[in-house]
Amino acid sequence: MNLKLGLGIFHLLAVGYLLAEGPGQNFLTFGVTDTTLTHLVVHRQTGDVYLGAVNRIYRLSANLTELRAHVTGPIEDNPECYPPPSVRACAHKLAPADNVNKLLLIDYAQKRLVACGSIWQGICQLLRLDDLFKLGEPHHRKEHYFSSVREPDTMAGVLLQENTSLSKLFIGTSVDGKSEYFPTLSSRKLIRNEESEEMFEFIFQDEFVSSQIKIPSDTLSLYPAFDIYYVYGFVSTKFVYFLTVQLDTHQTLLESTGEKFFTSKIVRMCSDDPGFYSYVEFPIGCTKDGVEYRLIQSAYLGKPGKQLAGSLGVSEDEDVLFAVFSQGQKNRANPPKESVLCLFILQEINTRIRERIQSCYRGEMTLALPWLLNKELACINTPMKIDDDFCGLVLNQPLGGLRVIEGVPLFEDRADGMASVAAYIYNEHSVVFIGTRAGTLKKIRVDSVPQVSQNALLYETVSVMEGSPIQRDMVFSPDFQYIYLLNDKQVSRLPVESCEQYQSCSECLGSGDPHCGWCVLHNVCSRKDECERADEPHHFAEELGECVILMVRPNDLSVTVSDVLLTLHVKNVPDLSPGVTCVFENITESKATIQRHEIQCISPSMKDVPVTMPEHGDKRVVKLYLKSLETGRRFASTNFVFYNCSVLHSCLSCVSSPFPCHWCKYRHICTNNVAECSFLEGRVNFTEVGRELFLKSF
Amino acid sequence: PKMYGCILIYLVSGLIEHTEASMFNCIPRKTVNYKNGNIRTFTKEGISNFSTLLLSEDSDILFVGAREAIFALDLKNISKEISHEYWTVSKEMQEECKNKGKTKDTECRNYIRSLHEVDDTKFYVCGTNAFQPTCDFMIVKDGQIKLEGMPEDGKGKCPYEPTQRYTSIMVVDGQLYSATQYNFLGSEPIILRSLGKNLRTEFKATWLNEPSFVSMDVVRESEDNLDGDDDKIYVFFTETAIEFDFYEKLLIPRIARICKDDLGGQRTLQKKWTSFLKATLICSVPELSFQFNIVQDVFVLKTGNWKDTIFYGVFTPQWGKLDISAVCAFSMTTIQEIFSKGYYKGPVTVGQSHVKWVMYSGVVPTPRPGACINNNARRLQYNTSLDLPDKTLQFVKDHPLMNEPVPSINHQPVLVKRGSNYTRVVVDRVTGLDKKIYDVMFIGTDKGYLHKAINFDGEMFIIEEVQLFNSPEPVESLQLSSAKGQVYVGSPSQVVQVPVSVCSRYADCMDCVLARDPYCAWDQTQKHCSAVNRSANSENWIQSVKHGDPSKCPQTGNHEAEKRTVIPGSNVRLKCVPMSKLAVTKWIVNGSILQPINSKYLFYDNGMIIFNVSVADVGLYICESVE
Repeated sequence: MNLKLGLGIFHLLAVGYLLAEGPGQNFLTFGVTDTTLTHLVVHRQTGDVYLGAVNRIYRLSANLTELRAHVTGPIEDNPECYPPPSVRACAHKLAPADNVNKLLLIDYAQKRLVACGSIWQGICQLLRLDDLFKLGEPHHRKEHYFSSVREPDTMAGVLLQENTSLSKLFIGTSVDGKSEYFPTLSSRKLIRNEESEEMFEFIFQDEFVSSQIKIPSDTLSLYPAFDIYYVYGFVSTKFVYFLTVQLDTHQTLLESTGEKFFTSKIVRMCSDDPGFYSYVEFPIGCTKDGVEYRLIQSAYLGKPGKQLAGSLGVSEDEDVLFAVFSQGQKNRANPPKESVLCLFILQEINTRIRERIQSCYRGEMTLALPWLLNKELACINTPMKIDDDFCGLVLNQPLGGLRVIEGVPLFEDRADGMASVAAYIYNEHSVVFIGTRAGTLKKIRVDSVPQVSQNALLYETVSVMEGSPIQRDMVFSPDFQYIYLLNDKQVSRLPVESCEQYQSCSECLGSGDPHCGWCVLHNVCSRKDECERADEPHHFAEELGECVILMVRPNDLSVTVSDVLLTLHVKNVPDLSPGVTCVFENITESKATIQRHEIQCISPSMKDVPVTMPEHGDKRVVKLYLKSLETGRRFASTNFVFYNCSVLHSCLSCVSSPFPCHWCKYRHICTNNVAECSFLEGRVNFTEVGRELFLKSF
Repeated sequence: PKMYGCILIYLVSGLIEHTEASMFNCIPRKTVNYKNGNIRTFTKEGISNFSTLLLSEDSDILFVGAREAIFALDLKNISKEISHEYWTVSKEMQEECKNKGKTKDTECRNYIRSLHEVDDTKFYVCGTNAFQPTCDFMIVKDGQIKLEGMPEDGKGKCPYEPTQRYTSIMVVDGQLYSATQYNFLGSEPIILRSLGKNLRTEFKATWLNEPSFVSMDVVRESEDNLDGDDDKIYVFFTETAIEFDFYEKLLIPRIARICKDDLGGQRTLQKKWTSFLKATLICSVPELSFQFNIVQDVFVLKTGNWKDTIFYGVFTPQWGKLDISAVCAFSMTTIQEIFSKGYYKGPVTVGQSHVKWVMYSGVVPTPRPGACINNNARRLQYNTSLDLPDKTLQFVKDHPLMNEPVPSINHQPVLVKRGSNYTRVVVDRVTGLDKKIYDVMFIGTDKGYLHKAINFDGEMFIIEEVQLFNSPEPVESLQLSSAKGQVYVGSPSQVVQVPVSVCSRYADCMDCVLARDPYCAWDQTQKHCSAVNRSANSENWIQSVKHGDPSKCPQTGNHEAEKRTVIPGSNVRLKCVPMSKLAVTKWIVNGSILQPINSKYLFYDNGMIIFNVSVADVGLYICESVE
């Protein structure tokens, strides 16, 4: 049995690390002081952790040891210089500029890191995975400039491997009004050779059609603040999706000083659509208790656990999207703390999109995408049959959704401000991890879609870094034992569960943590796979009713007696044939004999019978344990009472004691042993004359 | 006889809904019907939409682009086909087009919309190709035409929509300038230069807002230019106005221009025109504040010096059921003045959701935004548009519209016509026997007539209208060959060739002179109205184009009277056909003018009828035509 108890030792070894202190913080961290962390990825095979930061890229081991740091800035630059000063002398004044990492992706096929920053109009570096050696930094062509925006979480990328030498990189980014320089969404070639002229070229480009979407000048003329912030990107089947926040042009007035409203969108394209004819965009949001949540903070594509799938009526293979939204439509930069976790079934989103396309191809309504079209264009009626796989034609595109796609609210938080989300399945359970702006990690079990106004089960909240917001990138270790969290100054590795914090079977199984079960013979709360022979009956308890129950007969003895044969009844125990002992706390341990369902032990011998001090009163409660000889661990316990009648000095206290004490009438002593009342002086026991005697004695 | 021109007669009605606030009473002097029109036609079984004409005067070929066919016709007689080439659409493409919601048998065909000469033997052809515009080179050898069969993408060079207005030219350097919509939906307009240094317009409503492009041409302004200015391409279109606040879409005619050597900007306006400027064209009758706000076609009349270039535009109004058309002329100097010296218009945000376009009165950056690279710019080390500073480029990007509109010459149309919808115009500059120059306008109508008109210092005069087709159909393209003296007309069903003039149609000296046709004069020796032969001795010719004064004509008084014997009680018809529709006829009986008051006489266009003839009616009836 390998319990995770050695964490503290690693801390000590990790020179220069911040040791997380405080109660219960048994997790590793890596901290920085002279930079700000912005992005986090974890290599899915090696488990190495890569960090994007201001002026730095780090490679850390899985246990957060720094292996390499690569400096990316500051660099002489001026955002007005286009092309950047490296390509052509620039009339604007140059000054050292911080290079904010905005996108960090692992290109597994070519074993390199794609790290896009903010300097030189937003160029990207290609870094070798093992030593962060800079393999390339294309910066001399228009296609190499992605966006000079400095806000670190406005860009999202999706990497698709096409073949051994070419991958496709879908990149969505905010452009800060510079639509002439940067497309907001594009698909690029990621070539094996970093020196290649074609690196980052659009997948397709001719005079009129290319793999990109630009914010039209007209939109920027009307709404100078218009921009699209990319929150999350993912692939599912043949589609690439992005979740974005953008200015809501319906609600925001033209006047630039007025209040700005935002809306979230889900964007879908076929991954094999160089002309972007399959671009469809729907508003997306969530409503709980009649309140709208429209500012998406983070999202995570996963699968539903068996239980959740059953509750949703979908297959476990179905893609589901967990998304966190903040309330309302204002304050994109500083979103309200009132936030909600919602669930979307991707197939339902696809159905909504398909229905919209079908309706448009029947000639109904308009394309409804004002920010991209700036005018009402009617849908064109055609005889086309549109199925789920339809990837668009030159007509009826780009297409906007008319009604908001609403998710199912799972969990609401009004205090901490949910900011990031990740989810995975443990056994049959969907477990959702939420990072908050308050610096906590919330663990939520989602086994069904809760009724309205009822929450999914929040079973644990861990304080990661008090008051320091947890950033969007939240990644599991490849073995899903850990989750990595990012704050601006620290990355933390938290075990996905801390079952060991639960000391008893009932605490363990009552915690709600789906990872945790009771490892009976080891007497610990743990994951099933950490419990030996967990698959054998009664070795691993997963429900409260499966906790071991121990009863003993008799369950009390007078301190005056010894070597009494005790009969123990035990429920929910595995096969104990390797042997058990009975342990009276730290008093004695005696071999037990097992007879079918009964275990027999001998009570401590006279020399071992615990002494009852006056402060103990008339009894001393001792834990009687069953200890497994197999594991050497006590695994069941019950209370055993040693009583001492002799400390009771009045008849009343003697006879009213819960123990079989007798009052010797003449000698005025209390004893458990009737025989002690000599000379037949008679005795009083409670049942006979308690009250009468009491009166007499006064 | 007296001359008769058209004058504007207008009644101002108090009621606005009567858009016929004006009555333009200009009628063609003669109507020449189809049979008498000296018309040659070209038709081809199964082929339609002869919408694209290209003259090749060197090789005496008229190239015709039609639906799925290109023809080479004999310029002297277009009925003679020299060769043809078909360019059809495959079944699959047709099916694909149908799936995009288009009509299979009409829209999903290949309409040849663009025909340009690259050199003597090489041509560039574009067709709509079932809503997938495609271009190809065409080789011409000994009059035989053949497509190269290496089709290339025609987006932006040719419209998707077969009937959408579109214009393109090929400049001598082989670059193609086209103005069209470059997407399937027809929602994205462009003025594109291709086949070389590609450049295009910014996709921005302030540049082009739902435009309908009608015409473009190049003016060689670099020739003898002291400012070192560039050649310019002028584009004419109607678009939805953005600068006016109006309760409904207000259309507005524009002239835009770009510089031939524009290379786009380095940062701002990359691969886009840095010289795109546009101005409003005003074609109106100011006394009535009547605006003709749709430009239908523009013909650029180029003469020896580019500064004398005149732009003739055909205009119609946006509102009113009334068929009314006008031709307005614009002078190069006015246009140049506005583009090179005028103020710009700029947007100003008013309130929370409203933008107003007003004269931009702030600082205009240097070099002047939208100007071509000229000596001035070169002095400042801006040798190409790529060197231009961002400030200039950003300004032109945001301020493509000039504040001042371009007024027509004399602030008047050169021709206004009620009852006709003009579609196309070509203009021929002709020198009369009086050594004066006359711009003869040939204007096609939507009903298939060709009007031949002149404006004499404000006096509008339609010499004739010629019926071009057997049954009415619109004139869709017009080409003029001054050298051949022929006008070529494309229509949905055929191509028509009509001479600029048929002098023999004028019966006598009076008719010949009153016609005021600068192509014709009365040859006193031959006693014949003939085409002016400039080498001949003009002493013997009579012509009065300017004044229409036939006084030099020999008197024609002594007509032989015709004897008619009639039975009393019967009705008698006396024929008298005037040579001009402008003429007024009167009947003189025994020296006194017959009044058409009593029911005994019925006057009609070609004569009169005397009812119930009696002995009292006997006498000499003289029909007199006064013009």
